[in-house]
Amino acid sequence: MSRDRRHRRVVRLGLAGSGLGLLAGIVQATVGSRIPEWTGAKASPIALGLLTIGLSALAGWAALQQRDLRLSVGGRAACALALAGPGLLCLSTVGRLWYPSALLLVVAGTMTIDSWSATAKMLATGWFRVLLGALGACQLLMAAGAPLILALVGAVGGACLIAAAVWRSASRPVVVALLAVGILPFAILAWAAIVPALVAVTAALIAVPVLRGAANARTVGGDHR
Amino acid sequence: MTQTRNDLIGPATSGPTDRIASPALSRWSRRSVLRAFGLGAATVVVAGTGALSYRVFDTAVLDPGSGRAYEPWQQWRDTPGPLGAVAAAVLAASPHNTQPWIFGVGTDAIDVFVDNARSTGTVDPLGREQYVGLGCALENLVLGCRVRGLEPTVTWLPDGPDGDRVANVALADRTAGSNPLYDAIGDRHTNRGPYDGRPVPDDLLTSLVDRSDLQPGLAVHWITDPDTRGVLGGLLVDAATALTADEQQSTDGFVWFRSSNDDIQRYRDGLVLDGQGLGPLTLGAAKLLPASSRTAGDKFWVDQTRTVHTATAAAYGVITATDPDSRRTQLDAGRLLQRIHLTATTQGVALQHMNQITERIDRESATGAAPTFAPRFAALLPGVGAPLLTFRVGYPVRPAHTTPRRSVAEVTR
Repeated sequence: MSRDRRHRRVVRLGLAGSGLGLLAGIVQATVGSRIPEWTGAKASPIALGLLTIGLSALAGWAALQQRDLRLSVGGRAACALALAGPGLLCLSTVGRLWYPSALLLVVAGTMTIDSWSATAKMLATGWFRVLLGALGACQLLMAAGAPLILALVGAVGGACLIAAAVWRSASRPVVVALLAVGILPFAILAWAAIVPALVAVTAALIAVPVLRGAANARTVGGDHR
Repeated sequence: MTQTRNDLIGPATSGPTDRIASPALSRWSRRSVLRAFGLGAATVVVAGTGALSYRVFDTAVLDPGSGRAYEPWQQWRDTPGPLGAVAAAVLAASPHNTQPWIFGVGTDAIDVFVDNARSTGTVDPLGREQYVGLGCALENLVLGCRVRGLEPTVTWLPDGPDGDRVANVALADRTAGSNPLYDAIGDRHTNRGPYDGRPVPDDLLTSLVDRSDLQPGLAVHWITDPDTRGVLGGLLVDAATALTADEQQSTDGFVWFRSSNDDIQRYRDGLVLDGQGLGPLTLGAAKLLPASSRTAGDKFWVDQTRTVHTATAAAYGVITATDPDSRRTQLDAGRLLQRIHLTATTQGVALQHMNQITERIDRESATGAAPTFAPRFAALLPGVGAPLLTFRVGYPVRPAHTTPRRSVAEVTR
């Protein structure tokens, strides 16, 4: 299968999975509590429905990026994560309704990668950034099970951590600001749950080599895209 | 740096002094080894954090008291008529939160049945606590009827003491009114946390007791002086220890403990971590850990009984009865207990049910064992009848959490 043709299929698979996921999220948020056998009998169907809608939209956006054939290795890896990540994660947010989307998005995510060896090399080079992004995802997951205000704070914080991880050309003050917003508010508000504080400490430690790496990259005059 | 090194560990630079001399390890510098170690350690820590984050999500650590299992606490005022009264009834206290009730709801009457499948087995071998729980539900039901413009007339045990129908509540029209005890139903929770040590004034304790329209033969005794409190506290700790040493009682009690949020939402009954009165940090840590074993749970309960429940009780209440084996007496005792708890709630006084002594008395009686706890309790309260219920009161350090409840739809037929 040609590369161009494969990417067109990823677009179709991803958009189909995203569309079905959006529908599943809407169903979970509106009538999820009335059909628990289909929606996983969740404690917070509205919040989980909204999370599912957000993640489905993210997957749809990642699918649309496949139309750009000049995507870098890192860009493709990010798109693969944005497709397969929601595909797997939402299995625990919407129950059976998510099964078709999970299949479509995981397949699409897998087909996004052009070169697995180049992707592995890229990940090894920026592994601390990968870990920082993973911590952002951890925060998003915890936020999904929180009451509204805390969920919003956690979601913004998680998104900031992910942004700090993937935005390689960001200036140091911007990265520091993203880390501060990502780490502090959620950890302070949710301290009793212990793990938000653990995420904060771990993210702060991992941010040191990330910031140092960014400074080194700027010193030699480029980023490692 | 060489291309090979960059491929392995990324673009970090190092000077010649960082290199390790061995030719076999010439590709590795001290810095690269440290970096690889740091990467590995960070990966392990992040993976562990990921697992814990999922646990936070899965056990609803950040949003306790949420989900369908707790919805009855938000919706109990909303429904008019007899079903609304049942919505108030399901929030009553019951042994181990077993909720041993079924309601047959009609337009002009409500039948209340015992659900014999919902028992604590050898913990309550004579079914006393089960009927006390039904009495608690009936008190809430009566309060719920009156504020909804329904005058309840209760016929007790209409099919006899062995029948499953424990009450028939005939309903007639009346003027709807308010009642502070009704308003307290949604705020009444068993508080197993520490109390702050302030004494509860005697006149306040006395004002908690309302015996109106209850049968004679029930009495409430308040134990406030430190010496007697100490003796009763010791008896409670001994009873808790004996109960956990009795494997069958321990097992029968443990089956009502719901350790995962999935179980809480599925069964909507039983004892939960949120109801144990733990501090926020301890509660958070407990939810992150794997579910505790029966023996670990037993040890925790005995420790809590010794170091928190008895150590911080401002006073104990003991309900005694001249005929404790009578089902009618047990139902009345339940109504009285629920009134005490609701009134205490309006006064900011916390209450915890502590029935391990009577559970051991009944167990010894049921198995034919030599009585050890009955004589000790009788010596503590001589000549006042048999003990039926024991509880502690005090001013709470922290508010109690809600516990799961089955919905009206699940308990009506």
